[in-house]
Amino acid sequence: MHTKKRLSVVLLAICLSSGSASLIAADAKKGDPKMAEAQAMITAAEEARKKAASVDSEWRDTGKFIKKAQDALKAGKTDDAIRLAKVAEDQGNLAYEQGFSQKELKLPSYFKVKASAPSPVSAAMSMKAHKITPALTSVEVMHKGEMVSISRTADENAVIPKAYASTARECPPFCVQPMAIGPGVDTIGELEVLDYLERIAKGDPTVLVVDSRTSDWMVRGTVPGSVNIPWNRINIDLQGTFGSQAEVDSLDEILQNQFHARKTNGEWDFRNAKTLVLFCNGIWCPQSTANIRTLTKLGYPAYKLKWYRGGMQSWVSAGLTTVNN
Amino acid sequence: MINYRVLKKLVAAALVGGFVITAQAGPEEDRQAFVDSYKWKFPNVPMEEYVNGVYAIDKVGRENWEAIEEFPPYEIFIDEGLTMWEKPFANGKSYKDCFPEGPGIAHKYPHWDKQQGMVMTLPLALNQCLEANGEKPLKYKKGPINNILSYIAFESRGQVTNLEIPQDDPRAMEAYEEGKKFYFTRRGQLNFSCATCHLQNTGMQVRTEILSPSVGHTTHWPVYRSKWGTVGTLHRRFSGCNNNIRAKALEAQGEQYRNLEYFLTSLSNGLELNGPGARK
Repeated sequence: MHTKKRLSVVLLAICLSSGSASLIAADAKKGDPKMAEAQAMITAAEEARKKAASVDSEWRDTGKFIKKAQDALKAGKTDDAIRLAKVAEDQGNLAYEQGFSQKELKLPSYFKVKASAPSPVSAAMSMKAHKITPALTSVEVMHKGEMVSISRTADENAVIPKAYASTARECPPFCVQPMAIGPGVDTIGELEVLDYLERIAKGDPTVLVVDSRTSDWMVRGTVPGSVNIPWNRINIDLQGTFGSQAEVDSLDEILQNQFHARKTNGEWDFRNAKTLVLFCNGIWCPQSTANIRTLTKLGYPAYKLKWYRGGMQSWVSAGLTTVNN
Repeated sequence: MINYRVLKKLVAAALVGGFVITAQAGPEEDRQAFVDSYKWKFPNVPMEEYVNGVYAIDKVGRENWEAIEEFPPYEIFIDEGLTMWEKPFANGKSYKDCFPEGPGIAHKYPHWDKQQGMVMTLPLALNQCLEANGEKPLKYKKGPINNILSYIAFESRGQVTNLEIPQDDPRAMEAYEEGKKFYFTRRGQLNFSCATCHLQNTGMQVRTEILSPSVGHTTHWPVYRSKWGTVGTLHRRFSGCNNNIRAKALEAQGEQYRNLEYFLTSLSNGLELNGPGARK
C-alpha cells in the first residue's frame, strides 16, 4: 500500500512536471516499478528537506543524500537510490520535528538569569505574593507519577508542622552536621533542590532526589519528587564490610536499579550513575551524611553527590509544599 | 540606605498610577547570567582575560598561542587592509568618505539601523559603502573582506564593546531576542545549540579542542585560524560551527547570523576589542 501511494505521487508528478522527471517516469512506465518508487522516494525526501529548511532546521547532509540518490537513480542503481532517499527523508522529518519543537524559546535549566533587583516599589507591591523567589512562583514536579506543584504556603497563619517543631535532640545520635561533608560533595539549598526536581520532571534520567529517612517518616510528608531510600539500606560498617548477605544484596540492588551504577567482575562502575541529592530531617540529622560517606567509600564520584543539608525542617520552614507518601 | 520618604512617594505614585513594575530580565541580566556561570566554573580567570577566548582557560593552548602572537600571522592582512582603505574607488571616493571617523570604528558595530530596520554589521556596512560607490561587494566569508576588516580591527584595538539596544524601536529588542533564541536552539543531526558547547560545556573537550566561553566571542574578529591558513570572518566561523554539529550552515550576513552577532556582542559588553586574533 505504501508503494501504491508513492506511485500515485509519482504519476501526479508526471502530469505536472516536464523534462528529466517525466523521462524517468516514462522509463518507469516501461516496466521498472522500482524506478518509479525510487523517484517517488526522492521527491518525498526533497519535500521533507524543504519542510526542515522552512523552520531553519535543515541538517548538513540531507541535500547531499538526495543528490547521491538522484545520481544513483540516473546510474540505474534503484536499490541504492531508494536507500539514500530514505535516509534523506528520515533526516528531513527529524530535522523538521527538531525545529518545530523549538518554535518557542525554552531556556535550559543551566541558564539562570537573575531578575534585576526589584525596585522598592515592586517589592512593596508584591509583598502579598507568596513567591519562592521574585522570579519563581512554583515548580511542577512528578511524584509517583503525578504532577505536583511546589509553591510556598499562602496561609497567613501557617507555622512549622509539629513533627519538625521540636528543638530538643539528643547527641549522639542527633549531632549538628558540618557545612561540608567531603571534598567535591556540594552542599545545596532549596533552590538547587528545586532545580534538580524540575530536571527530573522534564525527563532528565540522570538525577535522583533521595529522602534518606526511615519509611515511618513518610507519613509526615516529604519533598515532592523525591524517592524514599531509608538510610540503613545503604550501610557498610567501619571496616568496609557488610553486616549480612541480605544487606549486600539490598545495597547492590539499590546501586544498580535506582542509582544506575554497574557492577562488572565485582567492581563498581559509576560512569553512568545518577547524580544524587540526599537529605534527611535537618541539620542535626546524620543519616544522609552517613549515606554520602558510604557511597564515597564505594567509589561513587563526589561530584555526583549533592547534600541538601537543611533537609525537611528547612523545607517546611520555608513553607514549601510537601506530600504524604 | 533607603530613603523612606522617596520610597513612600514612589509607592504612592505606583498605587495612584495603578501600574506594577515587575523585575525584568533583559540583555544586562543575560550577560550577567553568562558571566556568573563562567565565574563559577573558572573562579580564577579575571574578566579582562575573556577577550582571549579559549586561551583564557586553556593553559597549554595559551603557550602555543603566545608564541604565535610574537610574529602575528595576521599582520600582512592588516597591511593589505590599509592599502584597501587608502585606495580610491573608480569614482574617486574611498572608504574614508563612507567612514569619516576613520578606521577605528569596530566598536560601533553591530548596531541597530533604524532606517533599514535591521542589525547593521561592519562587513555589511563596508559592502553598502562599496555598492553606493558603484563597486562590487565583497564576499562575506573568505577573501579580501578580511583584509579591510583586519585593518579596521587593528585600528580599533582598545575600544570597548558597548552594545546598547535602542529603546525607541521595539524591533531592535526583537532582533536581540531572535539572536538569543538562535543561540539556545538545538540544531543539526547532533542536536546541539550554541549553548550546549559554549555555556553548558565550556571548558570541556570535544575531541582535542577545549570549548570556549561565549563572553569574549566577538572581540577579536577577523581571526587568523591555523586550520584555515588565512584570516576569516565571524560569520565564516558561525558556518563552521553549524557544520560541526551537522546543521546546514545559514547564509553569512543573513538575518539569523546578524541577530546572533547582535546577541553575542551584547554578552561581551565591557570587554576590550583585541582583533585581529589568532586561533588554532
